[in-house]
Amino acid sequence: MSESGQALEGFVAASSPLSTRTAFKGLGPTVRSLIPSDPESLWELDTQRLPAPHAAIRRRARTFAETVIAPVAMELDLAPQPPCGEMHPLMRQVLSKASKEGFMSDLGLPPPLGRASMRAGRNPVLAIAVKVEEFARACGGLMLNIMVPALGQSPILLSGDLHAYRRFLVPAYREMKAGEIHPFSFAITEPTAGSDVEEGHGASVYTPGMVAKRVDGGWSLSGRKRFIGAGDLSRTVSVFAALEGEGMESWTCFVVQPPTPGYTPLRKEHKLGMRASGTAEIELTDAFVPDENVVGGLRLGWALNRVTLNFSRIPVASMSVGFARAAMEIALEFAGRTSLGGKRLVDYQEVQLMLAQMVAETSAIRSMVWEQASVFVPRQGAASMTKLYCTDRALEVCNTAMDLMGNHSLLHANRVEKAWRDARLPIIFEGTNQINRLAVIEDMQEEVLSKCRP
Amino acid sequence: MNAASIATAEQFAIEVVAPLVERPEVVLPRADVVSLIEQAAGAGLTGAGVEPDALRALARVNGGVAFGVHRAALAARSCERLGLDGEAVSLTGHYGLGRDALPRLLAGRALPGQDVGLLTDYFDLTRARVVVGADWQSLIAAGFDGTSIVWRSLVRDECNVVVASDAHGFDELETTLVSSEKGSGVADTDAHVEAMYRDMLGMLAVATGLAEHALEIARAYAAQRRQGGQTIEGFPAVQQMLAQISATARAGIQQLAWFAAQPPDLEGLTELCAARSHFHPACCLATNNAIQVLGGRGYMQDFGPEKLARDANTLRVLAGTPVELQLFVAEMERAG
Repeated sequence: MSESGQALEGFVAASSPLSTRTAFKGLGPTVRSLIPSDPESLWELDTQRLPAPHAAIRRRARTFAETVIAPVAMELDLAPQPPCGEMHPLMRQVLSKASKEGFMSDLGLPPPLGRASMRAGRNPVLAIAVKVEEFARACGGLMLNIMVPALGQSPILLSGDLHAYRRFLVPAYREMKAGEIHPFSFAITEPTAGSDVEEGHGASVYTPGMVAKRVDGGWSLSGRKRFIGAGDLSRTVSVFAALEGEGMESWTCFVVQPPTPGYTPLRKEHKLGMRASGTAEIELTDAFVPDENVVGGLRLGWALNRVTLNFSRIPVASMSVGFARAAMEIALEFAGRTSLGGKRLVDYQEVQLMLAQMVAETSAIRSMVWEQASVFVPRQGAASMTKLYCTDRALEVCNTAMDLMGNHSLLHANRVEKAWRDARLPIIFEGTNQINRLAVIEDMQEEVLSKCRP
Repeated sequence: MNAASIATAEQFAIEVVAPLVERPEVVLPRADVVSLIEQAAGAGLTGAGVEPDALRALARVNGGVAFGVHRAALAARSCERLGLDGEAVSLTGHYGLGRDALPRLLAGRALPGQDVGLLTDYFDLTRARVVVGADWQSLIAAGFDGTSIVWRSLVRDECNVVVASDAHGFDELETTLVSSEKGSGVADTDAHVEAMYRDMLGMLAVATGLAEHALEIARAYAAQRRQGGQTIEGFPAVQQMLAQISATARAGIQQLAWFAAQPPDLEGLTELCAARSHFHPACCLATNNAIQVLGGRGYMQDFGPEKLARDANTLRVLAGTPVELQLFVAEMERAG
């Protein structure tokens, strides 16, 4: 960006003595150094706020998103989902490149196997969040396919079970380092239970659908899981099941590695958005899982499920920041290239107001994400409030962007309606925003109870 | 209100349209939409305009069919008034709603030079404008000659028509970018007031039908889906959403009753702009709430609410977004 004599209608040019750009130059050098006024892009200004390792991740992720994800995003959004177990060639290309770049192995293990930065490791959720925003800005579906492995790996990583690391993560990370695709999945949702597997009160009365029966040398799993990201492609699936005859408190995390007898992807969903990513319903019928595939220990599944959600909900909020930013940037480009009555749309005040609102909303939710992600693992209330607030606001930004573009927003080629469709999903998954509101209260329950009289 | 016409529409929607759109994820072929529009005309539904409650009844079953019927009827009514031929109608220009210049023109006020420039560009038919409706071979399009609205009758072959496949909503209909350098005009600014009034009234009716459809789906799901050991309709989190959908549908019904009884003049148009600037965002929220009540299923194409949300979004940005409608109303307030 450079100074010029040009100005938007309703504003003075940067060269005007009434512009802060020019007026501030009259201040002394010490004061000037304290008052930033040089033109900078919003993206650069935000990146400068990050710790150096995270800023580097953000730069690398943006380059990958713009050179690998964005070029195929619109085509994959329209392409029919391949049958269960098959992958679109363009998707394979993207995932292979993401794998080689270490974007699918940057959660847990440091080099030489993984790409987790030791310095960024102090804030692993922030590292994931800045990456997710860049990928989501380019394409929600592709972002999801690249990120789903992190979700599937999370219960294994968070178990602290070194045996599970060696058995499941190390071999997978070796493959990914070689550019192979090794999808992971996280399987909690059941056809009769979405919210009941995400909050304790519901779980306390829910009869589990996926049940593990004791057999020689291991467990036999039977039941269905629904809305499983990459569930038809995954080679390592964290399946949560109750022990036979027990309730949800017996939930245990079992690692299933398809293809294996008894594991059947039934169908893939037809979704409103994030269409490049496949979402499958899977059925397990007497699927044998050896004892060594129990992660963390028996009856620790509920804890691993909930801590995984605490870990993942802030990246979900961050993807909504990416969708909001995409919508805002698309609307800005449209307003800059479209004229009405001989003036650019950006010269009309009502358009400027909408742009400012979108910039402010996007900045606000990004700030919330980055602030709440600046701990090792966020606690439940922080993760849930960030997820629910940011995802709700991001959809509003998309609405505003569509308003700005008017009926041109309806055209697929103009991309903003895709941002809207993608932004709609995070309001639902990882717990609906209604369930996340209750999770906030659950996490502050003692404080609420302390206010109760008598 | 024509009770017989509304009863016919309800019967037509249930007996003829509903069996064709049972599966929300399957797009009704456009040839079927054309056929349905012809059948609706044959049943006397489109006449000299469609009863808003008849459109509502159709939209409770399928928003795209309802909008197609509405726009076809609007074209027929406009052609009748103007003495032109056209299967479709385009009232708005290439972007927006003519800001505050259009209400000044419609009110017969003196137009400053910048208004003339803006409206000339806004209605410039050489600039591609978005047209949504059933397949058409002829179109009447509003233009501007410097002092009046001028209507041009265009044949599709003489236009540059770019079909925008995979548009956001109204999957059953055709979304196109249309431009043309042809066509002779008939000047009639008052006809534009009437046409915009009828268009916005129809859009309000279709949006109301979408909200009613959303309520029907969400209510049925909430009554059978169990969580925490009970059906989810018992939770305030769900009740709040159902209530918002219900309130939107009820408000729409009341507004339709009011506007259906008003003459299609400039004052009525201003009131409609004001109503739409609030109602369409509410309708978008209502259809979104239906998605949310259904949770993950709501996001899937085979359950219905996601299509309602896309159709509601489409109505929100056609014939004036909330911001553009506000500019129209504000100018009329100032003129008054």
